[in-house]
Amino acid sequence: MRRNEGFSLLEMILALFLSTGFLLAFFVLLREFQWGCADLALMIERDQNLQLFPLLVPRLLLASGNNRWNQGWEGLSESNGRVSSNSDMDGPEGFPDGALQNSFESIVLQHSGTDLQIKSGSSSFQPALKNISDLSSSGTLPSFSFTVEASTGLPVRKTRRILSDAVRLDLYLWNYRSNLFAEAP
Amino acid sequence: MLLQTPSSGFVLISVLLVSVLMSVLVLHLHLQVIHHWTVSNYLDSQMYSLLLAESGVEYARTILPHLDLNSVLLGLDGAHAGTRPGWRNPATFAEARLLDPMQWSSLVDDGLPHVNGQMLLPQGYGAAGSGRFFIRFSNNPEEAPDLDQDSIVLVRSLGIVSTRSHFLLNRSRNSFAIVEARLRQEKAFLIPSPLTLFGDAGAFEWNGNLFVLDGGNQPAVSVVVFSEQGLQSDLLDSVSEQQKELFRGKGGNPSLEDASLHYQQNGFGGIFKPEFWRHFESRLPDFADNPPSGIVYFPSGGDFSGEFQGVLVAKGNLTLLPDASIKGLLLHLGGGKLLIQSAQIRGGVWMSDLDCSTDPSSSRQLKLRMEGAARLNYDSALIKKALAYFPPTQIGWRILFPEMEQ
Repeated sequence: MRRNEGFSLLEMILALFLSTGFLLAFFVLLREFQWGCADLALMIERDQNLQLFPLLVPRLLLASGNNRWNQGWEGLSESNGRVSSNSDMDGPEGFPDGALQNSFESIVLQHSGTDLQIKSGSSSFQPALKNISDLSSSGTLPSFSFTVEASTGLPVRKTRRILSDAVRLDLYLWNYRSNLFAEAP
Repeated sequence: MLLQTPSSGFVLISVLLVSVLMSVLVLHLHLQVIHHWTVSNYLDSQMYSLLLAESGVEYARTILPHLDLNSVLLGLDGAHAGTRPGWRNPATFAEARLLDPMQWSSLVDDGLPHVNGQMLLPQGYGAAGSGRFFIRFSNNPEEAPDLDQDSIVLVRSLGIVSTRSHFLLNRSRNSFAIVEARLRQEKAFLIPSPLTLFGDAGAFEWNGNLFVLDGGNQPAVSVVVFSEQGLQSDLLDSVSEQQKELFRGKGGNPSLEDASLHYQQNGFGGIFKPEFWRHFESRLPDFADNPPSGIVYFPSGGDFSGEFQGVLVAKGNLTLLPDASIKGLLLHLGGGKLLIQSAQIRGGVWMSDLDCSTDPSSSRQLKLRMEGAARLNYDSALIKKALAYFPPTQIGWRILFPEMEQ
């Protein structure tokens, strides 16, 4: 009998323990990595929503109030958390025609549940951005500001809390610029 | 003899595989960086183009009062080239995408601003970087394209930023935005005589025989009736036979005309509405200059001496002391008496005193006293120069999209 024959069993047992330990450590590490990735995805989605808001909203609202002096409607108004923008921008001849016929001439923004919803024309509200936890607006025309708060939607595993962040967007509405003379002739 | 082990070929293959893998990773990273750079570059340049377009509108707003609008509508060649799709834009949307902003100039000169035969922006206005804006005026669609009568004009401003292309994608596409503003130049105070009175009644005192109201080819006094006749007779009753000679100008002795019809029929009807005066008086402090130059506002009257050129607006008791010299326009909006003591005014004086707090609004008695060697000489050029201090009223603003091109 060779002197080192008994080592095979010990080596095997040791190898089993070690490989189990390594596997466990690997899976723990993998789980942490996956959780980290999941948290990162939540944070990135939240930040993307916040970054998208200042790009999306000004395009919709910058021309608010165009041709309002010639009509009976308000250009920009806020009530019950809804921001309504009316702007007579286009007509059959390519110029304001005194009517809000095109869908892009009448826009309403609201915060409902966890969505930022937008309604254009006579359609219904459609979700535009997810995981919006708050939307507030204020201002004295021609300045108008929005504060939008977005959240991760789900608790971040690292902190076990839903994380929120907010951005503030200040708009200068050119149709409300101060004129020395009244707009109506 | 070279000995070969069984793993000798594997090393080469491994190195090749690792090299390919690394190359693919580096290429991927490079393309990612290029993609993000392109996206952020387009975003930046698109926002910059919108700012440039708005800067063009501001530029147009500043120069509009100094332009001969009908001449601008026709261009330097004096003939309108007619209408075609996109003719109001500095460049059509299709052109704007591909033109070189640094070299491009419009082939049609209609609506391009010019003064004294000189084009102001023959190749647009160069801003920082590769940004530029171009502007073009056009008549409002309610009128013929080549003749303005209502002092309303459209200005379209093209803000454009040349976007650099990547060497792999050898095609540039400019970032640009076209903004339109509708502007109206106010003419209500383009008064027809050295003294224009707007109201229903007046208390006038003419002291001595040294003062002169000289209208030149225009009447010395124009009267615009607000609601009831009486102002003209109050004026005539206040003037002695000798003093009538001092009201020089078009017409009889004294030189006097009723300009009510002129104001009602030529687009100045706004002055009969209380909103006009409420708005004007409420915004005036924001537009007045301090230190005094251009537009000056004395809300509580006072004594004025020295030289001034521009628009002087006052309420309450205002005294123009003997050394006062005004070139331009004096607007006295009531609330007291206007006293002119041997002062010199070249241009014109407007007087009104409306009570807009009541409904319907009413006119209070105008109060004027002239004494000594006071002189009011009509000068339409100085009045126009003074009115250029009033910024155009912006009555519309919109961003244009290709489907809105007209």
